[in-house]
Amino acid sequence: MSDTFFDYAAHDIEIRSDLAECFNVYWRQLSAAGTWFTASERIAIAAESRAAFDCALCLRRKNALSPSSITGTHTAVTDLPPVMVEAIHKVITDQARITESYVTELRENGLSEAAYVELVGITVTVFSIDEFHRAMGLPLEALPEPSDTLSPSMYSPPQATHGTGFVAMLPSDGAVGHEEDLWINRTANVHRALSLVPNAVREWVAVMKSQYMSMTDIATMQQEFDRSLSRAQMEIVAARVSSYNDCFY
Amino acid sequence: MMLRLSVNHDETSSDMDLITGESRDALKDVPLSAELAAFAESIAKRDEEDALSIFRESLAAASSQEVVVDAAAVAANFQRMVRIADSTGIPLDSPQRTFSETVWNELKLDKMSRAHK
Repeated sequence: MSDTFFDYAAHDIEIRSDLAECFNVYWRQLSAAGTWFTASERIAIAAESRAAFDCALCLRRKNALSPSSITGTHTAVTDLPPVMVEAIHKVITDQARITESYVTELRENGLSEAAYVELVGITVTVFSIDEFHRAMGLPLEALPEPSDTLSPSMYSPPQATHGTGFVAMLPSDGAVGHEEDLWINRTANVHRALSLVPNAVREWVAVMKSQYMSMTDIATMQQEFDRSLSRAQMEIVAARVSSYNDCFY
Repeated sequence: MMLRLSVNHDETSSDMDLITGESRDALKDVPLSAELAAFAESIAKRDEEDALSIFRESLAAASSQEVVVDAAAVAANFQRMVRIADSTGIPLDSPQRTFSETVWNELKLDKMSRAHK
């Protein structure tokens, strides 16, 4: 795989090297077989996440009081199954109206709960990298080519349980065994949210560490960073984005 | 809530009107608060480049390119976080909810139907 992804020097713009490094690491992960998807499928999910805002059906649904009343076909750019395109586009364009019954319906249409979790992880992590580029006025990075043709591992952590959200996840004190690296002792729900697919957590948390801060720094209210912004300034940005998105979390 | 904790740590005021978009004058004790909030809002709204670049350049003019990079990175991060929370239907953690009752009211979170699911 090319190691020239996220070469910001080519754009004559100074960007912290740890951002380019973590984005490159994620691109390598994206290009390899995952837990429930092959490398090709993971990259296709990424491509579909980029197409969501150009989908006419998604736009009509976003503007509708009842999105489920709007029928039609998504404007897809991949050959992924329609249920996957539906989920990817929804996560990007209308995530606020995802409900438990919606996730159940996806499952009934062939997208397993664990596959949905991996799909969400890819969709949102690619989106956050793309959003950084858009915020900086940079073109989106070319997606990687598949680096392998391996089958997905289909690993499922045995301690995952239902009861917190729409999908099974590790208990707050459930980072044990193969998952002991995910967190120490107990953690917040958002950290647990994608833990039915542990690698999905590992991947987005690593990107978050460079874009924002580590989970440890969040929990300990760390105030000193190797950043040009103070903690309070970072939280103003975080809070304004979250407020606009109606994110109560 | 992290904002409240953070500004309280710095002993600055923490008027949440800046966060809800109701006032650009709040949180004046935090340097660049208005420019940062405006840039963040433009990213969240997914403004076209013509509009977004105005806020990006305004922030850069008031600070530095490094600040713009760091602000863009934080904003991009939270474009992801809301989607993780909403896609999985996680509730606010209990201790957080207890702690955040005041912030909850200031941000008018009870108006959001998803806050109760």
